[in-house]
Amino acid sequence: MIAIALPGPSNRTLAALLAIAAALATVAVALARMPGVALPELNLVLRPFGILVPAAIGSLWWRRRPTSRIGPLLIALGLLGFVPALQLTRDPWLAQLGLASEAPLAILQAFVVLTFPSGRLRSRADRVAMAPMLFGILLAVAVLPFIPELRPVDYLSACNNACPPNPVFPGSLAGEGSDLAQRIRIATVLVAGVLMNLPVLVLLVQRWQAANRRRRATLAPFAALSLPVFVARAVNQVALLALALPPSAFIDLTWLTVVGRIAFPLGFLAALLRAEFVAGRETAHLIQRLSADRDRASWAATIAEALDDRSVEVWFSTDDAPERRGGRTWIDVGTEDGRTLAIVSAAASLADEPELQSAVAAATRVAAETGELLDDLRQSRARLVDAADQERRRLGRDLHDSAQQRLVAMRVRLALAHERLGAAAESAGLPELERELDGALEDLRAVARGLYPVLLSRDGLVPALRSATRSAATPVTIVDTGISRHPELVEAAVYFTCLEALQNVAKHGGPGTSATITIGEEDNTLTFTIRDDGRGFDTGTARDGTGLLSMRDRIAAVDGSLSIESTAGQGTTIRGRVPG
Amino acid sequence: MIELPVDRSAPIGLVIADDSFLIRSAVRELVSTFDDVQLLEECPDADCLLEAVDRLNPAVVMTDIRMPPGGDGEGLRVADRLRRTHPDIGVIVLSQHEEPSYGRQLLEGGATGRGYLLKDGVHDRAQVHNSIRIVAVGGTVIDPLMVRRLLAAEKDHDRRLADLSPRELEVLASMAQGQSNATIAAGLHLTKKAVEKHVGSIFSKLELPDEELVSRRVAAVLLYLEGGR
Repeated sequence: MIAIALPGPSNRTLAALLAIAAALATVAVALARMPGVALPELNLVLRPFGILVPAAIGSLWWRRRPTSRIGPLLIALGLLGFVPALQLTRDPWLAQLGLASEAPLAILQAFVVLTFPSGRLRSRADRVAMAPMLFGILLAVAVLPFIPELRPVDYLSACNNACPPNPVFPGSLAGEGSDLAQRIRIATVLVAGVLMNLPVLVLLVQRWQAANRRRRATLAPFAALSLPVFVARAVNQVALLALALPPSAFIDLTWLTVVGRIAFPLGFLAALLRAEFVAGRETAHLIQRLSADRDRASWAATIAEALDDRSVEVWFSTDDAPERRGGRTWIDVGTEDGRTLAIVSAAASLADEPELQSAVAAATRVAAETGELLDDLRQSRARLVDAADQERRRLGRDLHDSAQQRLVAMRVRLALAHERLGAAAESAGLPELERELDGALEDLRAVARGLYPVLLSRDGLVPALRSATRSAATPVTIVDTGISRHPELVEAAVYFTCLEALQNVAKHGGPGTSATITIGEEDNTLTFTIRDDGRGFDTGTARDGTGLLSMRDRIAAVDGSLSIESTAGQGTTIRGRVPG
Repeated sequence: MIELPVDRSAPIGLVIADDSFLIRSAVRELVSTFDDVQLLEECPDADCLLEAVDRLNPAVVMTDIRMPPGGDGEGLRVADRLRRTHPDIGVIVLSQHEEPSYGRQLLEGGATGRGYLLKDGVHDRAQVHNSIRIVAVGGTVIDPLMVRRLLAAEKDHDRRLADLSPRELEVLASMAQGQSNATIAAGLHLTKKAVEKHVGSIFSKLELPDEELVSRRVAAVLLYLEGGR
């Protein structure tokens, strides 16, 4: 249901990459077992971990966020993580390669962190921050050939004072020259260490400040887990290269590096899980808020609040389709059969949070579909009620036009016959016939009036209610606080609901019960209350009898609401509201 | 209801309008028994009625409250129109609605020569006869049956009506039927002064503004009976 339809990696691609990672990890384990490795146990764990875990988490990222480059970058970091393990060999060339790879890999790590979560350099500041790193690293690598003995940057790869000689070291440089190269190397690594880490830290602090609360929730676990490796590396390098520390101190520092290295890839996993958790929570929250809000005009504000993005706009299927400007994230919300329900436009940065896009799409879809269903339900109810009312009205007219006319004419003729016959009329039973006919006319009028009251459409709700309650079994007082005319369907709904309520009063209220109907208006909403002083009932145990049910149906059909309060012995109050 | 004297020398010209053939023929038969009423024309709709009025200049028109094409209130509209075009013609509206508001609408522009009768009561030959003669001379008639029923229904719910004495209720019913004080006095065998006293007492008990004019008095009483108090 989301606009981005970029295919993620295929299963085969991921399987192949993970298989390569597993093979490289196996080789790394073999290297760690070689004699002369300073910390064999740590190497045994850390080398394969540094390959397999980034590759696995990278695969997950790539799968979940196909538009982000973080996934492929993490996989690359994992696979390349094998190269530093070559320092563990005694082969000078391979050891040289392993040593030289440390710095570029550190840069790749910094790049991944800096470009989180898109994996792309977005701003000029990002690019500028990368430049000194590149320069420092190039210099550090460039001086490597001029150092006679290959010395690793941390104790993890230490060669127990039996490091292989540098195979490319020119013998003529022994002494003075090599000392100079070593000093240059130390200086550049130090400078690069500062240059590498400072801009990254500054940019990350800036990003943190610019981020909204929800993004911080994702950034926090990421920063906590993935940044320590940079601090650990900086401390380690300074200690190893600039300070003359005893070997035991190196081992302590190595632990620092170990923790940083283990935590680094886990930060990405934490960020992903956190984002999915937040999105899940937002989905539930949004569904709740949008579904409860029948006024779709305020949905944009609700989504804007959820995304912490004031620029959010929402179009519905009834609106003109928006022009899709660039620099925005467009979310298409559609039904399963491909019908567009809504289009949501949000800030471009939402592109980095596909889980949230899904959340917005899912919530909007559920709420829009629910709204449509409710509208359909209300409309079909209204149609049914309206059709029934029209039918009642037609029936009432037909009764007047046919049966009543016929009976009235018959009654006139009977009266005339009575007169003509004089005394004979008595013995012919005419007076009895006349009474019968009067009774039939009376019944007919009552039926016709019950079907549909003429006063309702003519004079409105209050006169119709006055007329209908005039001869009611229960004494009724009608309080009119001044109402205007409303659509016929609305007036009929309130009218028949009031009569239904009065019927209940007459049926269950008990002897001597009286009722008051209060009709009013608030902001074009018709309000009505039917209060009686009858026996009342316990609303908790009373079943929603047909009377109450048909009242609710009638009122719901015109989008109104009805509440019933009753306490045994204290009467019943029915309150209703119908928007005009 | 009091009997008016019959004047056979100048019969009252009558036009009836009702879309039901059955009603027309029944009314025709009924009217044929009145010595002083001459049926000039029968119409099935309002257009025919207005044309017949122009052509025959009847003294009284008796019309159904609803006729084609409109289907509701045609009779009331005709009555209103004739008030302007033919102020001397009396109009009786036959209605199936036992609603005081219809009667009040009929009298809104003036009660002179206007009558509101329920179809259920059309068989009452004396009443129809009297009503024709009353509106012919500019009097007002509201169906006594409707008034009686309204009063009976209201009496249960309205404390103020219950406060009226039986005699006052009789006077009120006569007032609601559109009778003048003199007619009420004759009908109830009272002096005109006694009727005036009763009327004053009724108005004060019902908290109604005292109306001198019969037409406005009927409207006020009908409004009261509608429940618009």
